[in-house]
Amino acid sequence: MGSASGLVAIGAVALLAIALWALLRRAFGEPRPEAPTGADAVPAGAAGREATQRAFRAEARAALVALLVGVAVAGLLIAIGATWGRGYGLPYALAGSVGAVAGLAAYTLLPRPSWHVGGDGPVVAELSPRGPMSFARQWVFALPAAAACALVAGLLLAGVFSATDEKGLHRVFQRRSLSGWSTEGGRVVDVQYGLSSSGPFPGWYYGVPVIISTALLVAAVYWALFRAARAARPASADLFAVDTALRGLRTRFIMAASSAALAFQIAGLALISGTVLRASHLDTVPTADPNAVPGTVPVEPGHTLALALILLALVVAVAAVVLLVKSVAVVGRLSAARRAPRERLDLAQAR
Amino acid sequence: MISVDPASPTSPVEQIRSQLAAQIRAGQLPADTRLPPVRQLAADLRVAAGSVAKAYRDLESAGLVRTARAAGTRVNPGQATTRPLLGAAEELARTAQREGLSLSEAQGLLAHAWPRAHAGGGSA
Repeated sequence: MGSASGLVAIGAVALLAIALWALLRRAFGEPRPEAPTGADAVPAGAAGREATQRAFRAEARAALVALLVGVAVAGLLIAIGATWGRGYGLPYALAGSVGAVAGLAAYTLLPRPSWHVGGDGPVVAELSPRGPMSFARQWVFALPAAAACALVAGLLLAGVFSATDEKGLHRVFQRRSLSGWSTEGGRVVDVQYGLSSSGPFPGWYYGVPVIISTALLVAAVYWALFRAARAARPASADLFAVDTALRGLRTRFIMAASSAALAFQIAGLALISGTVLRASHLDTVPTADPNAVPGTVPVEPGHTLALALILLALVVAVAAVVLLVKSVAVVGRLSAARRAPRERLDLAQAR
Repeated sequence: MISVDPASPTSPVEQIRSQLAAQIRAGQLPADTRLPPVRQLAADLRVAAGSVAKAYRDLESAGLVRTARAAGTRVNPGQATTRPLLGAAEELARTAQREGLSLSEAQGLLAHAWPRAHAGGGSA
């Protein structure tokens, strides 16, 4: 029974992993044909080329600083969590989102050069509104938004089912457990049950701060995307293609980095919850043999669900690593793209 | 697309208003098209937000656009010029260019013909 339910859980999570992989490929795969990459969009004129290189250089620097700030703040929280015993691991739970918020704040606040290419000629503007979701596919935004909603829903559910520990903190999962039994004439009699607690469980103690930090992360992502979209376009239409490419990379970086942080947070919480729930859904079987070690039997469907949660955590952790690599790759692309226009232009001029 | 020439004697407000009005009349901006937010267009054109806001207000007064808080500024329906008039305008532009006239000279000709057409009961 136990192995069958385990197989079902593994199968369900494998399917989920395949679906997640397909969604991630679709969301963060190659850019749309109409959105040129920085290397493809060659600006005209030396001034335009200079402005493009300046913009890509500043963007690469800002992305790198954001990653460093984010990782440093997350690392700091993890270090605090390791030394602050009375926090009961709360800093660990907040590390992902707080690090991402700090990184996004740095990324957004770092100054960028304006698209000034010299000359006092006419300034051109397009008449289509630009919004936070204008420079990437809808999936790029829908997937993390759904993940954030699922996280909040999961935390609310965990909060409802959580119990207080000896200090009154909502951070444990309480369950009925076998506390003892007697044997009489080779038979089990007088089975006693009691309440026992397992933790750390993401009850209100962890849930409320994580929900707040997740809301802050969503707000920071929206703010960063909004600023990226609403920044002034170049004055010349010749540079619109390269500007669109730059904004596309900016959007991809913001979403990949923030989604990675969110995924790390979800993976950590799911792993902890799954482990606690799995341990909580194994009931001891009373035995009449005083020398035998009592066996355990899984309590369904909680045991299978817990197993699925653990496997899901592993899948989401892999997705988080993939997303983090994607965000680092965007920094690499920004660095590469700042050189590409010059090479292409030089070639074009040599012909 | 819209452009503002900082060196032009015409004010940025009038440049923005006239170009948007022309595009709405020509049908390039169809009914219910959402115009960019004031701050976006002002930033892109390197003009004060108040200039774009005033241009939008003038267009709203002329009935060409409507502004709602959530929906932004949108083109009103029924503002596009009829196809024959657009065709005539294009024909005038082509003929003027063929004969080597500049835009202002062609506009002068149109202004000269305007009162005569009005006096003639609208017949050209």
